[in-house]
Amino acid sequence: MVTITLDGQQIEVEPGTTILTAARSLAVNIPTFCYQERLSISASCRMCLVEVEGRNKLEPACATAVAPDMVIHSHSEKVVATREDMLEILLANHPLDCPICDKGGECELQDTVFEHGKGSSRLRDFKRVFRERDIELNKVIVFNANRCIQCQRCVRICEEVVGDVALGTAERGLDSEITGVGNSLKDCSHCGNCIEVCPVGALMSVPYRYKARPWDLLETETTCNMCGTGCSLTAQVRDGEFKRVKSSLDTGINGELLCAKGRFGFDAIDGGDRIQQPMMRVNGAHVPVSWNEAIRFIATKARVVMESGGGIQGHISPRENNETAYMFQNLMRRVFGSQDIHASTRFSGLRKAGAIEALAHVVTGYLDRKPFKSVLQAECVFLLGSNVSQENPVSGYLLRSAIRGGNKSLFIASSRPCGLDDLAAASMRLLPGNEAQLLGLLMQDEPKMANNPINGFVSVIQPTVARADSIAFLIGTEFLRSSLAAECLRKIAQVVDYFKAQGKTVYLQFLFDRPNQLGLWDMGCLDGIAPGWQRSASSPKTTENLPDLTYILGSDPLRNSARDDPAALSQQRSTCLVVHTSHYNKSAEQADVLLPATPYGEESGTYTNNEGRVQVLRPVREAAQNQPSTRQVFNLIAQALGQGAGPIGSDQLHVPIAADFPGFGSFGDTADMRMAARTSGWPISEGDTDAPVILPENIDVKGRRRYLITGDNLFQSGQYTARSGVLSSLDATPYVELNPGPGPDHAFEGMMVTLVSSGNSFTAPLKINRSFDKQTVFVAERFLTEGGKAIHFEGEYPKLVDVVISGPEKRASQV
Amino acid sequence: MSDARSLTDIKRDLATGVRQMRARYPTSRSAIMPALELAQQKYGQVEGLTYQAVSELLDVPEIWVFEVASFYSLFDRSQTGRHHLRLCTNLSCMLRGSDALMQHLQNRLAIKSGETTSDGAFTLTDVECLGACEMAPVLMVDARYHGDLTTDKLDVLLASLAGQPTKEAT
Amino acid sequence: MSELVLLKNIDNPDASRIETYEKSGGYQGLRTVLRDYDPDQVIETVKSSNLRGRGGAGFPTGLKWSFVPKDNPLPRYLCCNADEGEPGTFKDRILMERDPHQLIEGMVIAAYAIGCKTAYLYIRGEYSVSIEHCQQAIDEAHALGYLGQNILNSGHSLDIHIHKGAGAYICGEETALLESIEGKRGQPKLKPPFPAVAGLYECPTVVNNVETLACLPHLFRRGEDWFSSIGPKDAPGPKLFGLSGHVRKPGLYELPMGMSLGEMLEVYGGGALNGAFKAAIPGGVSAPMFPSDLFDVKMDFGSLAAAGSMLGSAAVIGLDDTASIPVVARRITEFFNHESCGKCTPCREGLTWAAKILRRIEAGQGQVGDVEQLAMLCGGIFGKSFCALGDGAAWALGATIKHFRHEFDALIAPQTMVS
Ligand SMILES: Cc1cc2nc3c(=O)[nH]c(=O)nc-3n(C[C@H](O)[C@H](O)[C@H](O)COP(=O)(O)O)c2cc1C
Ligand code: SF4
Ligand code: FES
Repeated sequence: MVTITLDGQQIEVEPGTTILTAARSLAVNIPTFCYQERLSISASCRMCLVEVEGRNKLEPACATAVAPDMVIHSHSEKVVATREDMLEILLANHPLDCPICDKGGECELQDTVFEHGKGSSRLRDFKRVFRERDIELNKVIVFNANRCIQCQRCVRICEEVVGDVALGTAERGLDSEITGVGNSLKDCSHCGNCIEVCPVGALMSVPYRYKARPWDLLETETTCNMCGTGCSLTAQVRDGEFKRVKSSLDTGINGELLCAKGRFGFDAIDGGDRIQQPMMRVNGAHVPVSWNEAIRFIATKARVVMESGGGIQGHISPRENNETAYMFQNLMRRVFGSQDIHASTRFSGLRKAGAIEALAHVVTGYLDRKPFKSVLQAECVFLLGSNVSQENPVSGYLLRSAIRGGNKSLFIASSRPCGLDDLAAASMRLLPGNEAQLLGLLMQDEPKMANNPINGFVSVIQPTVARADSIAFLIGTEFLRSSLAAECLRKIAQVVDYFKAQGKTVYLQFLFDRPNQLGLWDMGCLDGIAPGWQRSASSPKTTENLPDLTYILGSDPLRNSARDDPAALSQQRSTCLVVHTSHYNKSAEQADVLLPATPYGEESGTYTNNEGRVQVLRPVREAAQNQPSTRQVFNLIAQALGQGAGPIGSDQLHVPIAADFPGFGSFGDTADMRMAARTSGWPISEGDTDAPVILPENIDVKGRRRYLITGDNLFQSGQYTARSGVLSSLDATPYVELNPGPGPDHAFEGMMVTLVSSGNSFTAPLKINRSFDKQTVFVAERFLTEGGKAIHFEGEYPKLVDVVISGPEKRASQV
Repeated sequence: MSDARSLTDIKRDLATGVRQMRARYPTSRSAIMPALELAQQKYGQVEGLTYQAVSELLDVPEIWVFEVASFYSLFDRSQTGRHHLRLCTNLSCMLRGSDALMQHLQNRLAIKSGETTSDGAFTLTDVECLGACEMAPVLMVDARYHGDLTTDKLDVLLASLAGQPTKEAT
Repeated sequence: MSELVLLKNIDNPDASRIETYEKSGGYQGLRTVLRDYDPDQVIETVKSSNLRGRGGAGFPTGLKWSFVPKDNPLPRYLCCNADEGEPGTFKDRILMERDPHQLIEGMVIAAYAIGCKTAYLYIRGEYSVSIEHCQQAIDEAHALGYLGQNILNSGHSLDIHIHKGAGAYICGEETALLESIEGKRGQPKLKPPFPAVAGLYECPTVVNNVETLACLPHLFRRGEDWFSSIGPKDAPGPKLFGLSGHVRKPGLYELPMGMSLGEMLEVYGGGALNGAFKAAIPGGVSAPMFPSDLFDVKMDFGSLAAAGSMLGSAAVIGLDDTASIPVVARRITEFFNHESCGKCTPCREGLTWAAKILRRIEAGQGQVGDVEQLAMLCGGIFGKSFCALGDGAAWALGATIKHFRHEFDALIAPQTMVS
């Protein structure tokens, strides 16, 4: 430790600490502009200059490391005068158009001038004016050059954290201007983090422009519902109308970072077609009914089914919160007496025998419920089966920062290329399901499969892995769609044991593409698994044994699953389909009973993110009047079936939840949820883990056949994001992404791709991505499930499809 | 630059030279400056398609190329005349009469500093110190220095240049 | 005048050819080094010779080299700073155009000392003759085994690549120069870490000026004692001074340090062009000027620093009675403003503002308080900018006001009376 004296106070700090960090730990206020946590140090704004005894020049506090017995003055006369001069010089060219500036009221320059400025300027000449008009760099980012103070926070965050390198600086000296190529932002992720870090009103949000003044806005801090990263965000509303999302350095796993979906997709709460009241199908058409009537109908139907020994199936969307999920499984188990509960129809691999047991085995015994930050401390980070930069963009940003900042190796094996490939020490394309094979080889001293690319990859990374004291496995959940899900899960458990046995620290976290996937499972929304991963009898399920009543909460399995997929079949043949959801969707159209649910943004509760952290959801506006909330509806159904009503408040529900799942909500560096869960009946069973991996056939994809894979992209989180006006405007047209093989890119300009499979086809413009391998083709899930004729996976994932590229120049050609 | 030149053309033109430059450095980013210089030698200027070509040849973000092109003042981002006259107006040259020479040049060519004559023969620019103050005032004509100038010497120089069709090689 | 060292062959039209250079003892210093010295001994010798950098800061060369960590496994780089752009300065150009092998030989010696295998010679883009001649010298040296693999069978190897600047004075600042070689905008980088520890591509790097490196062959050929016998003890060795501006005989002069500014201007510069000298700038426009009554100052690092200026690039600019100091101040400030990289607030914003005020004063629109504004700006920039460009600009401007305030007031006064 080093002892220093700052403004007369003595403190001890770690060697290497900067004066600024030391000062902030003492709550000494040193103004800064260019400094931003997690970005490289620039030390260019010169606002933080302080006096260090024995040095003849003032030193930038942000960049100067403490030295033993350093005596620092951060408020001496000289320092104060310097700040005043610096602000006067900075304001000389600043337009001072605060009354019409979007940033007015939350501007760091304005605040700093109030606090540290002199209040008057002697500089009276004409100000520099770059341009009269602002430049819309793209659909969400607009730039006013005159206000820019060249702190370069935007440029640094874009390159160092987001990894886009879309922003840069043109010209030099006073003419320096932030810009993109040709005044637009090529390669921009539209994350808007540059807007967030801009201290002044230079970079602004197009959707928020001139919409409100910060002081008129009502703020609610809540958790994003786009993916499992679980970013904190602040939704701002005026007169009940949503205006903008902000994020703050001090809160959440994400700090100031958000992705395009998080920052610009919140308007989805105002989109889509809201279901206004209960409805029932009469002669094929939906007619409004009273709540009473609808509930009575469901209760009567359920009673008949139960008495006749029929089946009742439940589906819940991974966007539902823990509390609602807990009540939902109660409704299914205690009221309807059914175990047949599904939390994601997309993960068809979980329907295979033994898969759910393997999942429980991994989640209870191996998953690390630890801060992502601590997982990122591993020397070796293994990213498996995930396009993290598109499905969990902020996790990707954090990963990029950690890899850039630290001396560590990143390995990537996934079906889709991702934005972190350039940082990876090694990367390869791997078909979903082959994770099992890769992990298996990683555990062999000498990988034995000759001529297999996985083999080559493993031998490249093995020396580094062997040397590392700590390894983090970050695993996407794409493999859960494949028939090899169970094998993958078993190999995941084995590989953790394997490296732990070598004395390494091993971390395991999943990268879920939905905000509460883990939470739903924790809450018992799985067939045969009660809350807290306790074993409970599972229901037999075959196509012969179709449910007589299906209750869908929030999800849209009729859209998501294949025609002859058992899950989809069940609803089609169900004698009674209850759809309880906030907005119209494919399943809702088919419903026998349609109940409005409380949407995200109007209900309180919690989500469990990828870390296992339970985070609060707060309503950002009042829920619709005269409608029972989703949880109230469950009580009404229970009561109609002669059972008592349970608590519905989020806090009250935590009591029974914690009783079933000890440790729920406790989270931190120390809380070991693994142990808590391990006691719940999923011991490591040798028989399970030693099951041989069934290696997938190495199909030689010839001619026009390719494997179709799907998932989210930067602007999509399933169908949900289709409700966002802003996101839809950024990503409105479907595309098929693939590597077309030889030939310059421009030769493929304007080409269309048609995918054909068992009579169905999907056609969209070609998007070239040469980082794909030549045996895969990608279509974002939202596009694949939209529109009439779609390709269905039918439990086969990845799916072999015929690919035909055709275009204006060439006639249909094979690839 | 003529609109006819396509990205593919530019990449083809520059590929070999850029590859040679690239070999001198451990990172491809380092070759941005030499690559832009090659392009400028070839086309007399650098612009949008050049940035894209260099970015693709070196596999670096295009904005990096543009940043460099706009930071350094020797890169011409618009078409210049057949001869580029760069008159040093910095202190040592100023003390020895560069202001009068600038006036003279502007009058003779009927353009202002920063402009190109309508026949496309000359571009005139006032520049910072050329590092030849011992022969102040100095004019850089394309790649060569001409020192100890007077208005008479300038006239002779202009006359000889008018007959000369292309830029001297660097 | 004593024996010429650096400029010995300067008037020989064939000086740039390797045969000429070898005939006059060229590459003997390198042979001696490779034969008799290990790298550490080279560094020690340079240290004890007291050779100080000729690029501007006068930093002891041997000491700089000794900062290169011995146990760092990364490659080491040598970068020669030939970005010469400080107004008034032209010495490096003349060395490179006329006698470039001195530099190449010096680079090989320096690279040997620090264990560098790849060196970059950063020449400003305008210097096309220097670039040609240096490239030719590199090729010739390669052909004769002074460069490339296993130089003179010593086991030492070196490649030198020329990196052309493209018109940015700031790239003469050593960290900006490194950024420029890395293909970035030439903006200075934070120190520490210093280049010796983490410079080019984050590897240990030494940056030296052309003249500094050109001294090395002579130092090793003729010995430390000979070297130290030239000029004052604390600043020995051959030194080039560039005389320009209002002097009768502008040109490059090799003179021992320690001579008075007045003598240099009168004896070597041949006196003022018109009338008498009013002032002079001793080391390029970044160096504060002296009015003629202070011309006794000695032209060496220490004396000039003590007198509130610096030797800088040893570019002496004479200003005679016809020079208007506010105009000189305006031109200098415009230069720095034009060349400011734009990174830090005080230099980027402050210099523009100062130039604006100075232009106004020159145009007869000065106002009472303008000089105070200029002083405030100088105070806000000096010692507070990120790199020495801002400092130099404010320092130089400050000196014009300090010594010639009356000239500014004279331009402002009539206006104020009107309004
Ligand atoms: C704005 C600025 C411009 C500079 N320009 C040059 C230059 O053109 N040539 C040079 O050798 N040094 C220049 N320097 C000094 C270099 O930063 C560095 O100190 C020098 O190259 C070191 O070489 P030396 O130790 O041999 O003197 C400049 C410094 C600054 C701050
Ligand atoms: S003082 Fe600042 S703006 Fe000026 S050149 Fe140096 S770093 Fe750039
Ligand atoms: S915050 Fe330290 S210089 Fe900007």
